[in-house]
Amino acid sequence: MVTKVVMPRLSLTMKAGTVVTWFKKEGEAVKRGDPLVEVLSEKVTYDVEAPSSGILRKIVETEGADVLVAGILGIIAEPNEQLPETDEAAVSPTSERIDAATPPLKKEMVKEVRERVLASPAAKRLAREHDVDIMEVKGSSPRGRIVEADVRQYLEEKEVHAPRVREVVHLTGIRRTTAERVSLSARTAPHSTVTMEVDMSSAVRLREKAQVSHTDILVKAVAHALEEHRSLNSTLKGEQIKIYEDINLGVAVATEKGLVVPVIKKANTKSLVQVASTLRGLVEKAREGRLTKEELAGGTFTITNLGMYGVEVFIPIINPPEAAILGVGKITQKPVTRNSKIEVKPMMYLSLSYDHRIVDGAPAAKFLQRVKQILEKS
Amino acid sequence: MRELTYRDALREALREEMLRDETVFLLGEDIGRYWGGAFKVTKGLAEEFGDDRVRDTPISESAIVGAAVGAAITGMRPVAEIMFGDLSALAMDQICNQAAKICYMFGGQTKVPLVVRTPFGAGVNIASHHSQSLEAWFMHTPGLLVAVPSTPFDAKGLLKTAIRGSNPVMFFEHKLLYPVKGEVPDENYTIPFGLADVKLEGEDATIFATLHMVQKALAAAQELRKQGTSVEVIDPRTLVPLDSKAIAKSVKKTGRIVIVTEDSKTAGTSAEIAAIIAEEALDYLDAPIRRVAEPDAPIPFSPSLEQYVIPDEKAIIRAVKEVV
Repeated sequence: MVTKVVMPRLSLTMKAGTVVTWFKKEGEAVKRGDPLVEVLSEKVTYDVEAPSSGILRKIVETEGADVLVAGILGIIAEPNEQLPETDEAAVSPTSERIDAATPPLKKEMVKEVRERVLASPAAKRLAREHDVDIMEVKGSSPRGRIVEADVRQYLEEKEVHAPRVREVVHLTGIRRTTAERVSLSARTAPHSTVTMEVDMSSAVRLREKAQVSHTDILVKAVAHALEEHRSLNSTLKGEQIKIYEDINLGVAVATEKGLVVPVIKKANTKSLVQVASTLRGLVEKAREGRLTKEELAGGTFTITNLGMYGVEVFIPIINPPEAAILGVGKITQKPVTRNSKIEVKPMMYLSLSYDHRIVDGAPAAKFLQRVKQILEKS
Repeated sequence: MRELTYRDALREALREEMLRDETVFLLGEDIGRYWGGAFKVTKGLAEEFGDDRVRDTPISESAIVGAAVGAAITGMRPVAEIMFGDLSALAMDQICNQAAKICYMFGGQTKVPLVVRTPFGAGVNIASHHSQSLEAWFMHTPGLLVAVPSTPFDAKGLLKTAIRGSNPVMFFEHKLLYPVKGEVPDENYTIPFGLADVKLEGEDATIFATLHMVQKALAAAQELRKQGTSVEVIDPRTLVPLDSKAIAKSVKKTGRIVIVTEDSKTAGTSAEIAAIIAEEALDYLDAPIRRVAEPDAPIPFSPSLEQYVIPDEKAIIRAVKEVV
């Protein structure tokens, strides 16, 4: 006798189910009542039992398939019995695939249900209390059931290997803000970085002449370059890239309490001397912790300098929601070739991290090239 | 300390309360001077207190409890004896519809300071009508208190509290416990209701047991101890009120519970205890709750079949081993 194994209706609202596991292979003998195939509805897993004894002649729906209620999953028959047409439509008009419009049952759900661990309530409680992922604990009871003692042992073993804690510092204030913002940036903005070495000879001369800092010159040069490369002075919001009119340059300042980024508003409209005096004021206020909200808001691009710590080159994280950030290394006297002759020049690395969703490598490189040009001709 | 049998401890409680309060009197079948009760609990009391205070009654459980309820609401403190717990079925209306509800239905204008003493339990080969354990019937009726002493000490202390109280108490004894001896102090004492007693402290699993099953649980614990398993035995002593806190505390300590009662399993005492543990200590359970109870069958007359249905030490040990 030919018997069809069908997708059961496990609840009133169930429309379809997923085939999770076949317990038998095609050609294997089955006995009526034996668990034959595990299926999953939105709510439960269920072992479909063999409706009759015989040979599992055909598996119609393989593991992972979504099948409508009453759809044929497989066929049981005698060894040499003639099977009906194996064409799916002929086997059953109801076994059609789920309409593409209805959301398919998620594979993750299958995984979740299958990986459910056998653990006692006490074991689960202890795991919860100590933030232990119960999946990592090995069960010692029959069938691998995890009991309280297993979690305890896991904790003890972890205790042995874990480093000893000297003190615990809570994330508060600037530290907390920084943690949140860099995570947001690293999580959402695909970072890419380009680097370039800059001859700072003329910048060094300008610095001495104008009594300004390297950073002031950098701010001015970057503001200038951004005027010509607007795509770097932008942000991505949803499906839109907003390109800013204002060029507001943030300068990262390390203080005792942590990193702050005061902003020089409309830096492109300011003279070098104006930039210098504005920045001096902002840095002073930053060190004293007196920066106002306004002075910290509205940045469109950030410059971060670790040169004073001897850093030659580093890869900065974009200050969200900006499009890019410029990392500045230290100025080093280095032998370089000029007209096939070796000369010693004050050299400095610039590294530009940019949000690859907004700009590609070529425009980023062109912008950086422009910054280099400006600095070398200043 | 001196040792008394469970039977003598009960008699001592009755005697002391009769001496203390002249409104206390006893009534029941064959409890008087000619017989002293089927299990001899009231032996000698008629001689000491007279036939008026130790009254032999006709064979009518309904009349015994009905008369006792009437006496109780008119100012007496009757202690009625029903010869076998099974026969309380004959007095069910008086117990569950009258005694249990009078205080409530009359807005507290009258109390029912009544004690109904009666023995439960199988094991003496007297068949289905005389061997049941029916505590759950009365636990299920709001308005009744239910005492289930397992030792001479508890029997005396709880009976005195029952007699002094102002609400109806179903006081359940066990036939096999009457000759069991235990320490009972000379000095006057009572035991409050709703206070469980840890009969044996242990670490690996808790056994909840009542009445004669406490003895078996302790024997099982001794055997398990030899095999390296430390078992705690907790006896609630009263089922209503129930010391659920103490039960939960023990379960939280051991993480494992085996409930041992002599009543049949379905909707029995053990079902209620299991439910309470699931409600109050689920997160501390390290193994499924196990119940050891009588199967859902009338108690057989045949001694070998009777022994087969009564939970024994082996069944308790097996259940503990399943969970530890």
